[in-house]
Amino acid sequence: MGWFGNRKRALILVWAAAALLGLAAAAAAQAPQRGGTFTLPISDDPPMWPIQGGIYNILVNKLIYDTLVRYHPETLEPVGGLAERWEVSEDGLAYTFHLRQGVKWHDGEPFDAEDVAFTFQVWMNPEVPYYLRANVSGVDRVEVLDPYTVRVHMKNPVASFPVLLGYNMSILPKHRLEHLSAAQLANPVEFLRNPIGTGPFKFGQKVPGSMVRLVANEEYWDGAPYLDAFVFRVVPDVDTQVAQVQAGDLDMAIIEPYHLDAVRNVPGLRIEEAPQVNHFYIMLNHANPIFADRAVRQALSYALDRQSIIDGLMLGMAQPATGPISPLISWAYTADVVQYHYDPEKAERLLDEAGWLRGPDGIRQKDGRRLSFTIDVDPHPIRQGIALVAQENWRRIGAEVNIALYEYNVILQNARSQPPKYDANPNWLVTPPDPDISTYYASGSPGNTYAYANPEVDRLLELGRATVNQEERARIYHEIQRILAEDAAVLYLYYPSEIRLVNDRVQGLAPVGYRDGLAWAHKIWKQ
Amino acid sequence: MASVGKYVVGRLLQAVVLLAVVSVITFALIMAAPGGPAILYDPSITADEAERIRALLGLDQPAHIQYLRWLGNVIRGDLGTSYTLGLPVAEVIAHRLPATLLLSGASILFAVALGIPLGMLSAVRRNSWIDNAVTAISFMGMSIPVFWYGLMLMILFSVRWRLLPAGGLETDTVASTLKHLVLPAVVLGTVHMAEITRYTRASMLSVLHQDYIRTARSKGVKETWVLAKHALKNAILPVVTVIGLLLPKVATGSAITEQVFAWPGMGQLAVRAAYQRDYPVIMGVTLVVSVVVILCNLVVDLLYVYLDPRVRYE
Repeated sequence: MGWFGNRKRALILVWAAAALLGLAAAAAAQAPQRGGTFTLPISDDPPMWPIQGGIYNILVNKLIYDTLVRYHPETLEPVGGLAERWEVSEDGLAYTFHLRQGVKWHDGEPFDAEDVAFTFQVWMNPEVPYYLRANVSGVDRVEVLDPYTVRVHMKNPVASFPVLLGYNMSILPKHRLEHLSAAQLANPVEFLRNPIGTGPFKFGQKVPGSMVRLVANEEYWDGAPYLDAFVFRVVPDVDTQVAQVQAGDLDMAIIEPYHLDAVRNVPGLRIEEAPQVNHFYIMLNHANPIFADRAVRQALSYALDRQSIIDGLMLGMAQPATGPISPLISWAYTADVVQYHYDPEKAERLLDEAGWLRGPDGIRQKDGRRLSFTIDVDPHPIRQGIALVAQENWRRIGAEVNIALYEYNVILQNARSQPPKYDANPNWLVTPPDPDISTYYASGSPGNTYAYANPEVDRLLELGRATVNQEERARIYHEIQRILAEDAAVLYLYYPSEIRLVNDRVQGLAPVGYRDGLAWAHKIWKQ
Repeated sequence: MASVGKYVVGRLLQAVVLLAVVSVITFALIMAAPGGPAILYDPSITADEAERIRALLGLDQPAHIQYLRWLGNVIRGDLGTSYTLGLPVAEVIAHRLPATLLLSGASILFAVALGIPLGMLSAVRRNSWIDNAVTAISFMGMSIPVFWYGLMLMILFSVRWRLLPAGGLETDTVASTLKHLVLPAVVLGTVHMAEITRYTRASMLSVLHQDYIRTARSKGVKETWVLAKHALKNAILPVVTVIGLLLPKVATGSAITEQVFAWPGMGQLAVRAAYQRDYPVIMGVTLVVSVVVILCNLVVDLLYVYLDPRVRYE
């Protein structure tokens, strides 16, 4: 063939080698690599005790402990955690959990049904202050059938029970805690110096006020984590968090839309948008006669330019909200409800028809009462922005709106008073991925901070809670969403995305918000 | 010297009374403030649960009972347990205090080491370009918003140039401690430096016009000796006052600087405790800081006795 032929063959060989190398590189780029440390910021020192709340505490606990039920990393459906599978009786009064075998606590002791029974005891103990007690309020008693089977008997059916069990309800080690009194269980100081769970990461080291370092649990039942260690750093200030991600000291931070300009197109970093079960709304106090009038609520809703809030404040990182149930809970969500598209003329007509007529000063009044109220807001740029947009929008339709600044702590306290002590307030709500919103909308419920009372909604909420069949439940919650939208109980604004600033080397993050996604921390890896 | 001893004992007795007064005022302010411990307002919590927690923490008792209970515990050496951190307050403070002492100490050193010489230079070369430059720098230092200044330095030195870490504190090695210390100490120290510079300059100027300075100079004493022995020793008094006012900050820390630099100190602790209404921590921090302030004032007053022979305490 001569020289020419050899060259051609050589070229073919080179091409083939290149192709193979390319394929190999691509394959290697996809295959998770082992090793490395992932560093995440939290805003405060975590006690690492699941009986207490606090977002920073919850995040760390997701790695140290396990729950009976986990949420699927994309659909948030309940899937097996420490309970491999479960069945519910036809009447919804008995749940049988089949526990995973061969699971070990971080100190080597075996996990079994006794731990689950013990944990339920703690949750239900009236002398232990447990912030999620409402989740077990329907439980009558717990029966251990054998070392790997537990039956939970309910007083009344609670269809959301499996989902609730996945909401930060970590299982605790009986052998380490059974000798403690109720008062000690509120805060087990000695145990918390070296907490043990069954989770993918073990406690390594804590520097108070500074950081918590967790190391991989090589014997984790769902496969050893790819990472060697997971560090939670206490960085209270969001701007400092962003600087640290840019400097490479942190691997990820949750940022606000107003950070985007500074961090877009920074080499080595990427921005991710993740859906979460969260909705923003402006709550109205129905104990105030102005807001007891449905026409006013509907008018205010029509007069509110939600799109300008989404575009201007959230920079597009949100979807318009139609109700309190997140589209992530896809089986229960419906958009087939009245939607309050921006229509200030319609708002004015509604108010005119309801008898709210403009007075000589331009402010509407009815029966001697002026359409005048105050928006309470805490000093956060987004919420303040919402208050300002609302004030401007509503001024145009003849409402006198003032804005008052309060600490968030105070706003919460005022909202939870009976009756609530505020007029209007921009707020948000993060819930478990279940449509049961009884706590927030049933009349008289402590979470119902709007003094909203609709007997039909009460009836449907009770029914929805008790109905085990998912199709039937879906129909009930569709109806609830329709009524809440029609009633304009609160003014739904948007479903925000979680905005993540992530180091490019990080892979394997669950595609949902990290409040739920960190339960899959053992799947995170770094290049 | 016996009179100094008596003086110190008298001051310490006063201190106890002062501490009691401070604790009562703080407690009253806490009770008067709206809002309550953050743990009571978790969105998932039921009204019953909140009541139960309230009773467990003793918050359902009348205010004076709660105060007396706290006081009783303190006398027995128990500062209580933090609501949010779950640890004994004494332990929490013991963890945070060294970090704050380190930062404040370094910032005061920075401020004094730069401030006094700059102030002296400014006074001696009055109205020259040096004086104008130093004056401009000190005015900037006093007006600059700490938050912005800290973030700017962080962006430059940590993000842009990758020379220093962006906040936090890692004490594995002396080198790493120093690297984390530089930026926050400079930020905090700049404000103090500006103050000390101004005070030193003003004080030096007034001293330099005194007769005894003119006498020393006319006697032919070397200028540096004039400055060091005569001028400085007298000019230093008001400056010692200023430093004395700064010393208590050694314990309180600066909330803003610690927040920006994620420094695990008392300032950050106090701010978080205030926001979350972590009452035991708020009371504990106030107590510890009051003790430090009182002690620092005592030290400064004793320093006066040493520095100024005209001062005597009955």
